[in-house]
Amino acid sequence: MLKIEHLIKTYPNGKKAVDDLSLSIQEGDIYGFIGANGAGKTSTIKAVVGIHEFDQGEIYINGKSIRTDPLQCKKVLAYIPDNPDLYEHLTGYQYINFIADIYDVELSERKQQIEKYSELFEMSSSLGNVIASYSHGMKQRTAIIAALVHKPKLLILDEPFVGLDPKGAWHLKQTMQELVQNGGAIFFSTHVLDVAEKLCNKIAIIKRGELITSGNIETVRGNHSLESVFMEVQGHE
Amino acid sequence: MNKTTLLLKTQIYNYFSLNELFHSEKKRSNFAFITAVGIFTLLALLSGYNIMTALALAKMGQAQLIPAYMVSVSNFIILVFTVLRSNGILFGCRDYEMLSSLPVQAKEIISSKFGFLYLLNFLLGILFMLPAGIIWQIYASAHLLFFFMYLASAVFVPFVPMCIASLLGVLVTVVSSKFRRKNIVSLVFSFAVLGGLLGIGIYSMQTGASGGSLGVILMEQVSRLYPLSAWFRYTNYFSLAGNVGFWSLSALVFCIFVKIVECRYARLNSYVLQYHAASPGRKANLKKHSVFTAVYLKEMGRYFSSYLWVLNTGLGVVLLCVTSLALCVVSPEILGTYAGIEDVDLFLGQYAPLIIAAMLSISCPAASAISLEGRNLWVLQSIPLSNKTFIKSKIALTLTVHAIGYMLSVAVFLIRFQFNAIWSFTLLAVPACYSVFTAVQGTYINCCFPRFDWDNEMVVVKQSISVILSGVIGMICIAVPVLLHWFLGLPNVGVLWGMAAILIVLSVILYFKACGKKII
Repeated sequence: MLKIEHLIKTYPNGKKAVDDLSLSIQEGDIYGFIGANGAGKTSTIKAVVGIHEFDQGEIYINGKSIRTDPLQCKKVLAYIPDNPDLYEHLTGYQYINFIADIYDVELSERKQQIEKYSELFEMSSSLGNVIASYSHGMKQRTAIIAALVHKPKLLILDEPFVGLDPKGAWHLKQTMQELVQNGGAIFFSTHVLDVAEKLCNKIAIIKRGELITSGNIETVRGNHSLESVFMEVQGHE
Repeated sequence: MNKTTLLLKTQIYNYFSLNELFHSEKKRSNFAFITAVGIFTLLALLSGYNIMTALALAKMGQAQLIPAYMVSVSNFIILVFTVLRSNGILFGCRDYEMLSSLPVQAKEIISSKFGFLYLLNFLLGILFMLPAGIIWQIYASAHLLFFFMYLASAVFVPFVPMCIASLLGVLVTVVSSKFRRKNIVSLVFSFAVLGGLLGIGIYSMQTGASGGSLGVILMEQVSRLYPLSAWFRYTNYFSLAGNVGFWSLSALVFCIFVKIVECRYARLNSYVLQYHAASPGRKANLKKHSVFTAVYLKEMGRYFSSYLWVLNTGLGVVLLCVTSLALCVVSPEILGTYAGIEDVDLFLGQYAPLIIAAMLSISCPAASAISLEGRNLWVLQSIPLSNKTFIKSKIALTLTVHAIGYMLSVAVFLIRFQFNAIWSFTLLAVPACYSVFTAVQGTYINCCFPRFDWDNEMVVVKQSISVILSGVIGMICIAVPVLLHWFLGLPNVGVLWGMAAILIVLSVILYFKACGKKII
């Protein structure tokens, strides 16, 4: 579903944000991407979804290159950033409908999806208001509903649990599991190691742009907790 | 450095992208060059106009009126410009909540915001007063002390118009906050205020009923436009007392106004930033659209939701609509008298298409449309939307805004005046070509110089390179046919059609170039 091959991304000041990173995410995977602040998680994610260009390497989504065939790649994915700056002049409904239009979602299907997820994330009574009046958590939930409206095969999330209340976070976890059970795949970055440990079947740990370890969670952590593995990796120079 | 100065300095750095200008090696030379060209052109145009006005007064033997005249005009210009800006700089800034959480007093925040607005207006005022003052000094051989007093007055000139304009801005904000569609109400009120100001300006500059010499008539007009300008006559040394009186009064008005705003600043900001919630449980009216229609509708919604964007880029179209509607009820001769045109039929027979084109050219939402995506750009970058559709939606927005003014004005002009077939066709085609060119060049220039890291829409809508550059290009495109007609005596119709053909060819080239620029 998602294949990253030898990705290199350099900042304008010459510093490498991502250095020769390779990953492969299959259908059914919930892939956690872990690293300290500034490790290169967001840079990698932004390159995957087509926001950032990259210097070397290749990213394939559903077999197509994000570099040469970005529209086909984006048709199957949905992205939720860590800080969802949505169109504040639109109402929640208008924003989700706009996203549904771009993905050419049939009217009956979008109504069904919006109803399902707006109830799940307790946004039914708020989606008629302009986004400018929303709290951070409400914006996050609106971004989640919009991301799910076209039933993406690949869901990419950057720190999805930041700003969500416990109930919202629980529903998001359920939704993520439902998506992979239906043959989708999820790639997400997080600082919350407990969540990664319980939710993911695979993880990757990145440090200063370089992939330190990746694979099945059991293999990566062995007999230790994910937290102790992460701390060991961080301390290891 | 005290906190007010620190806040002011930060605001200046942020507003003019000084960090980008001085510290970004890659963009530095390009950015600095374009900024310099844009600013120099504007300075040259404004100074040139003021020098010509002062020279005209001097040649009429009225050089002694130059100081009062320039104080009046700069006061009026500052008034109009501040009405357009005050609600973006003083109130409704995104940084307000952040600043409120810092250990700074409301007084310091307000002082820095007023300080910034003052700085912009001072520069504008000095552009009017300095070049004309030099002409005054040369022709009237005024005492050097008078000249320095006049120049020192430039420091105080912005105070009163700033206060009046900010007060009008506050009134618009408070009244519109009572309505659910507060942006639309704000816009209607703001355009009404601007219309009222322009009306007062035109009325004041009409020749009054009183007879007498040219000097007396001019002095009456200038005093009517700005009564305080009467203190700038410099007839004897007692005139200096008038200057000191002006300084004191201006400073007093300003201090009182700042004090009043200080007490109500938090509330006024909440008026600007508040949103009316829909009734709970309000259901969606979902409709399916094509990709282009969806992006276009989003763009239209974005435009009409932004008070500052519409106010600053819709003025030309609004003026066109108001003039056209006025032509429906008032005879062209009367309208011509108000506009200072002696033979309206002859004037419109020569310039009607260019007048419409000029009004459309100064309305260019496209020049800031891409930059205004700001922090929302990630949405478009991460969805399957082609760059071409994105560019088309930006062009379509400007064309739609223009269409309102174009259709109304062309229809009214054709009905109200007896143009021949060729001129009627010119009236239809030439403004349309200018409209297309304005939309495409604005979009292309914004593609070349996008600015996404803004905190205040005003930075993008009024001060960005793309807006300055696009405005200069628009002015040049209007000036070229006029100059060719005036100085080379080329036939008007031929020049206009030639210009229209060139603009269409340029539009096609720039459209493809814009589609090739990777923005999303």
